[in-house]
Amino acid sequence: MPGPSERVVLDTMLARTLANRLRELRELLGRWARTVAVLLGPLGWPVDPTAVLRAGAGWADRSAAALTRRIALAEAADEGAGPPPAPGPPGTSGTAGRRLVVTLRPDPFHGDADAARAAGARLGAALVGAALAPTADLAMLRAVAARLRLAADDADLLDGVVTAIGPSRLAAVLRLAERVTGGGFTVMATAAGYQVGPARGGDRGRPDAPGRWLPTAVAGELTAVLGAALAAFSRSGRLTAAWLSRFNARGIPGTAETTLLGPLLAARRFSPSTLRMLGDALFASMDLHGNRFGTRAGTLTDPTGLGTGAPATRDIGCYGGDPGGRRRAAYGAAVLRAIADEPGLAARFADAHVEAILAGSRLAALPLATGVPPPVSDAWAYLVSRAGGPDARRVDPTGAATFMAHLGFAVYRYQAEHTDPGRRMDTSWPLPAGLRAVFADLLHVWRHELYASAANLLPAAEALRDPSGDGLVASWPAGAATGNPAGPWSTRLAGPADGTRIPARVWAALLGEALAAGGPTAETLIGDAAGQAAGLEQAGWLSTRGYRGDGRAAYPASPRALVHLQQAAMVAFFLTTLTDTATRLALRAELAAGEEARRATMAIDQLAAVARAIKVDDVLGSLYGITLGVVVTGVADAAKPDGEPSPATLAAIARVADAAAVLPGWQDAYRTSATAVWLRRADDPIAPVDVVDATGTRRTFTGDPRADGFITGTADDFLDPADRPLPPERMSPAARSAYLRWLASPAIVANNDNIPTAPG
Amino acid sequence: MTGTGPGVDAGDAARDPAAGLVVNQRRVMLLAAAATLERGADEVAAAVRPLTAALEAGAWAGPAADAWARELAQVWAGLSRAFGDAAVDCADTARAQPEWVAPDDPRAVRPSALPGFPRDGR
Repeated sequence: MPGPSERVVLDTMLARTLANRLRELRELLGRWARTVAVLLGPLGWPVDPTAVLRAGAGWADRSAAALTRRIALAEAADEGAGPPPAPGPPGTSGTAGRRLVVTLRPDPFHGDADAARAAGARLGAALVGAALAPTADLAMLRAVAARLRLAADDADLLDGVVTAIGPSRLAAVLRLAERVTGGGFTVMATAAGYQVGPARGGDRGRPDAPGRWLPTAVAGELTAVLGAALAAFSRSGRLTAAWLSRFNARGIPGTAETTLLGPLLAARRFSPSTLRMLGDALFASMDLHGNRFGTRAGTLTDPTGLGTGAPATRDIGCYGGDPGGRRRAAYGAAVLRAIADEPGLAARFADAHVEAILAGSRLAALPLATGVPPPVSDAWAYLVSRAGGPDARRVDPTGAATFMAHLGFAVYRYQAEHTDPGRRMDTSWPLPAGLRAVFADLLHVWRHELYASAANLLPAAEALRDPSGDGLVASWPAGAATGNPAGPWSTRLAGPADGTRIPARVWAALLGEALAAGGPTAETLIGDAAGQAAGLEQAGWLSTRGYRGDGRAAYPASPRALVHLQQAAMVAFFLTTLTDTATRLALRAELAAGEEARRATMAIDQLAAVARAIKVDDVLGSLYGITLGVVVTGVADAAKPDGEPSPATLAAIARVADAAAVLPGWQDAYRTSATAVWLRRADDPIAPVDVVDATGTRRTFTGDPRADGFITGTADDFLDPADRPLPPERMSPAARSAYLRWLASPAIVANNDNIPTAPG
Repeated sequence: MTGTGPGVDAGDAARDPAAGLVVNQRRVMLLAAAATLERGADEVAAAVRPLTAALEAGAWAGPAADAWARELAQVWAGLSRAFGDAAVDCADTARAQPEWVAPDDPRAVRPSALPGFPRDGR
């Protein structure tokens, strides 16, 4: 009889530690039983404590097993009770340290994992017998499915089920449930139950004949419970390439009919390493050359490196019929969506395949029959949206920043190679509107980093800069494996702040694509630009409150001058990107014909509506003003049936861009003059600046980075022995951050008498 | 080499020159066993302490956890009693033995190890 339902409160990490300590106690007691035998045996056992020691070891062993099972049950119950668990802080993996409060169903096995596995094995055997019999025993299948649904949280039982069925027979059962033809396999009745093997001879009594397919309702129940079972098997780390090498109904080693897994993947969460393996093989099996989407066999490799040296497992999709590749497409979309919903995996996986995703998406957007299945291209866009989304950013900051950098870099390189408005050339394939809208959502998530990069005083990531000139490297750095914890594209910084070191032109490439989507996304993007500029201004005012003091001090510049300069840079960045996008779209409309030209013209008109609303003498003020009404009106105006962009439209856009321009190279100019202020302090003393902080306390900035608290030790010292700032690329992350804060500090800004101003 | 520790070979056992007696090896081994068993009690206590600490830190709470904590306390008590009793019994038995025995006394020779076990050590 199962016991009563039980309310359990568990800290998963501490409970796992407890189970490990129990295993250590078992080992210790075992060793002592042996020691006691050595000591007291030769003496004729004057006393014999070994029975107590062995009993203690047995108790520790049983307790460890029962606790491990309880943790698994609680985690499964917790996961089944609601949405995926809130991810822990960066650095913790998965469910570590999570506090679970769940009410567990009565455990029929009283904590005995082996008994649960044995029961699972019996259920698995019953399932195979009922499904593979010449006439399927539907009542038995329903009963097994019902029993498995009840045990959906019991990883031990589910493990027993999958182990008993085995990969080949599971593939055969799934073929019958999913109604796949042409399997070329046979079912043999043996003493060990039904077994499968390759078919020989004629097709009499073919096991995959439609007559043996399972009815839809039963098949649906069965795939759901088998999905949950396989997910548990995957989470226990046993769904490896080696296991999949026999996952085919013919029982031939080395081939995996992965496509059959499609309907199972949505049932429960599979382990990230299984998903990574399936996802990598999925991309390896895609053929994106030329202008046709095709598939071929891929290779399944364990991401953990387990089983290296073993014969490769080929991902063959599935034997037999898959008209139109619909099954493969559904499977591919299921894998991609499952990966996208794993925030610890999505960014790194998408980063590894970003070029293929973009190439495939461009192919999908062509107005030709290219064969890209819509479920797959939708899943690509979903994966991109999650890989740079808020969840991935929180769980895997470095991976998400790297993904954004790589995504922007790939878009930038593609544009650089395929479009040149100066030579009136555009051979690019546009991205689908859906993916452009996803870019806009991502840029909203990364708005702070985007505009901080545009107004950054320091050059962007060295790893992406072409050492021979001003441009970017031609291809993504080879050492950019995302496994590098220091952050691959910037060898210096890690963490979410990395996003600010993505070069502005890379961000601009993404922003341009997002603006080209037109419609309501442009509204959000303008709001972001205005919001970031306003936030910067607010921060600038707060950090320099009360600097005028008694009015007697006179400074060469306002301590807020840098903020204004950076604000201008942000606005100019946005408007320049807007103009460039409009120019590109105008060229596109001119070169293209028909529907694409119409859409391009519409987007230009929307951008022009934004541009017209900006008053040249108050760029920032009008940016705030247009965040809502104007764009919507603009969209309505722009929804004209046809026509090329009018010269007036293009002129309006150009006028705004000119108004917003900042002096090129203003960052270097500012740093040079700030350094001069510091180095010439003996001749021209730096006038100290008093400010009042939020608590009303006065603080004096002298311009000396040590006295002002920017350099606190050797870790953040950015000065060389001669007190000159080191070259930025040689600074440590801490020193770099201190240097930036010092450059923007009130005394340095206010004493800087050569702050570059906007042209005109 | 002279000495009375368990690591001393029977052939090297110290002789009492006055009476022509030799060290009672059985007594020596009983005393050594008592000392080792006391160390065992300490080692097991050190291994059990983190278990109660983890429970108190909130690893697992609820009625089942309370029941298990009681089991743990019982097992621990049983183990420390087993080690303690065995150590005391060994020491008592040793004390009942003479310190010196005649060279032809069986206790003058160290008993051989159990089949399959090394002599001395763990």
